Amino acid sequence: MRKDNGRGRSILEGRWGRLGMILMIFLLSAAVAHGAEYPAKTVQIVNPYPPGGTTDIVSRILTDKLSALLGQPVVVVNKTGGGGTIGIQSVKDGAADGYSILVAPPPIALIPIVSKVAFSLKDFTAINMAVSSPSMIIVKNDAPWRTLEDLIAEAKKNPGKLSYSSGGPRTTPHFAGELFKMVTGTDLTHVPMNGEVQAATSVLGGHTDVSFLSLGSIQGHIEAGTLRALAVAYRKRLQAFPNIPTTAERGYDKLNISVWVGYFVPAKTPRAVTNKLAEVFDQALQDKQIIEKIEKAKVTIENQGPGEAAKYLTEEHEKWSEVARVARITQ
Amino acid sequence: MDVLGYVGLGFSVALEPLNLLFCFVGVLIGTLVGVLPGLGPVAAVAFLLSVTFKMAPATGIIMLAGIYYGAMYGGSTTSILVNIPGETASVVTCLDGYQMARQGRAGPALGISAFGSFIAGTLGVVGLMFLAPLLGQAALKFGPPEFFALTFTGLTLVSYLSQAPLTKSLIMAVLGLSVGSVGMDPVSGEERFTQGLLTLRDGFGLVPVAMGMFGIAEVLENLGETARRNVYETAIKGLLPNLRDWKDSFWPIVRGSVMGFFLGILPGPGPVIASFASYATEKRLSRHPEKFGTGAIEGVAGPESANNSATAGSFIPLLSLGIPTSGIMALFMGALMIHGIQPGPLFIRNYPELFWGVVASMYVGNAMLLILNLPLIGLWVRVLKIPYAILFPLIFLFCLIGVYSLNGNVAEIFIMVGFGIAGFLLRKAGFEGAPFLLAMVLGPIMESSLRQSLIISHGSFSIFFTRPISGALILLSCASLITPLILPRKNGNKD
Repeated sequence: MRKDNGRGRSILEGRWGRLGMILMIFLLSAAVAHGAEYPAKTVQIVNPYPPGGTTDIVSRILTDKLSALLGQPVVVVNKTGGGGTIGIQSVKDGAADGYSILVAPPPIALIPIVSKVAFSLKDFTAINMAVSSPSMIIVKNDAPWRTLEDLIAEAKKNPGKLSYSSGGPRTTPHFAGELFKMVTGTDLTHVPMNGEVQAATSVLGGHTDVSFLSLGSIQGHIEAGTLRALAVAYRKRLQAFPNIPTTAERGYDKLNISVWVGYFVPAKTPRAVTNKLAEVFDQALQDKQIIEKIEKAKVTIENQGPGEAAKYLTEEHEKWSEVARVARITQ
Repeated sequence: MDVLGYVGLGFSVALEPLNLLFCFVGVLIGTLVGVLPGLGPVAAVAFLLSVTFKMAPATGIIMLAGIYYGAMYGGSTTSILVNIPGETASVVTCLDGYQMARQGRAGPALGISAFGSFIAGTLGVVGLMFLAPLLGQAALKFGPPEFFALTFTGLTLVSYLSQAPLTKSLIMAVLGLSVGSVGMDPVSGEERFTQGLLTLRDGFGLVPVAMGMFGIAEVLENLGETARRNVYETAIKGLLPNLRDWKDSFWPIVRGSVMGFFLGILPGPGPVIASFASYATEKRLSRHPEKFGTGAIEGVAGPESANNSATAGSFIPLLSLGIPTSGIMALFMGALMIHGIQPGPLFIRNYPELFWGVVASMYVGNAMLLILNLPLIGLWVRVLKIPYAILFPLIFLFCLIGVYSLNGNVAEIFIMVGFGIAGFLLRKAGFEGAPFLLAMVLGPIMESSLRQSLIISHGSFSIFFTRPISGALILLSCASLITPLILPRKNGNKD
């Protein structure tokens, strides 16, 4: 301890003290200015998937409004590869300063459950759970099953005879199919295809019997009647298809599956920055023009803020971890 | 409205001044990315996708489509001139196109690819207009067993793709299959041979490997050899194909167009597979197969027509069923979705002006490309006068930029260079790259369709023979494997 202090002199009176104070004021003001000035440069939305998908379309619809609200350009950057892991990893490893925002669908929660990767949901803070597209239980239009009960009865009568197609091992439709088996106590044979599109095609061509696909990818076929939706795995009936029952009203409320799109920043990002981002995303997703555009892209607006999103993600994590354990979808 | 009425509607949309302008912009960019090795249509379309969000849907799609088929015109240019494919779909054009250039016949080679592409494009557009809904439905009949049979047939073509002895071709094919098996297991999702590298979870990318094996390897080969330079000091004999060339090329163009169109409809890299299939078919049918690989014009005309009509074919599943069968078709789907247009079975009925407008614009664009490309032939041939010391570093640079622009992934640059070095060493040992590449493309499709089929059939192999399309394809390829074993013996007896 310094002697001067003992004599009652304030540290501010010494030469070093004064210098220190000036330095402190400078640093403080810089810090304040920094916080107030976020963002001071272009903000990137990192998309771990190729352009043209839902993550990409929703992000590109949002960028203009986000740019206006933040006063800095917001651009979408596609960092593709490794089934999404490269892009997700790059945001986790990047600076936690809010200049790289990750846009991600369910694989950000599913991948760490089933394979060895250097990230988990805990590494990220969700700033908004923006949109979702509920999964539909679909069969071909000339399939003999008219209702969900018909399908379940058939599956119970001939265990393992019916097949379901997914977008590949460990994809959302694969998890969805295993959840279906778990909840309904049935056995279906899993046929992993190369992508959700091929999963839909194989049902259309009669090569597989059933699939669990997000509405966005098959809406055209449900409208045209080439695919029949037995149920929607969502909490309420869809406005566009009021005649399609929900799984919950048929007694399977645990069968709740959506393909969502969330926005994330690294967990270490300063609170001030995440708050700011949460605020602008909320504003952008309430904009009438944006709502209209997003709904045209066949997805439902969720606009859940950080608190709600975190709760939802915890539920998702628990649900899929259990499915992975029961169905032995592991590394 | 009858079909002719719709065609009229289509042309009225395609000939609107703004659409005409963006069609031209599209084909121009397409030609450019086609000519530049490494830079490809996927990256160009991805890059310009966000621009189309501010345009009318028809205008945007017209431009993006122009880039796609325009690239198929441009892709052959560097294949012929410097033995470096501008696109993966032009790899096979190197085999005979470059040999033609060495004989001073770069002009006719370039000319026949432009005319062939135009004829194929025209046939493709006609097919798209009259057969789209029908063929879309037929494509659904292709399930896992049919894909297995088709890729099986494809692999039997491997031996036709190389001048090297059969053993060497087969070794390269096995290497290609091995490289194709890297990445996630298609059924269990386990990682295979990835060495913990994230990039390899999706397997080796086709573009980095192809650009390495064919682009970088060629650059390396030229570093050591100054002697090859004098090849181009031979007189340039004519800029356009002569009557004889036309006679030789007529059927290859027709066959290539039809085959390309149908192969384009199926999922996977349609134009690449179509060009390989066309080359192999022409060599198989030719009365002088020994000329292939030494500058046979059929080996340029067929594949270049096939890759162009494959682009038209690949639009069918998207526009008639809402099913994007390749990465680039997913981009087109995105371009429609952003405008709230859902491609699907009702698309042609609900948006006639869009469907017919885009199809008509493809015809207009093909005509523009022919007009654009013919005068360029003289210019391209003169490119050969540029010293290699300047030309090859530039090509190398474009390969680097092109591969990076694909996914923004630095690791893929290293993959490209790695395969470049490997390709160079293999060439020195007398191995050729084409069988390798075909096997690498077909292998993963073959593996997953085999395993999917067996899951569906609960383990029974009869599924491949009891289904008509798959049974016929397998019988056909077995027959084509056996006949050469019998025929040469007959000839031998006669001699």
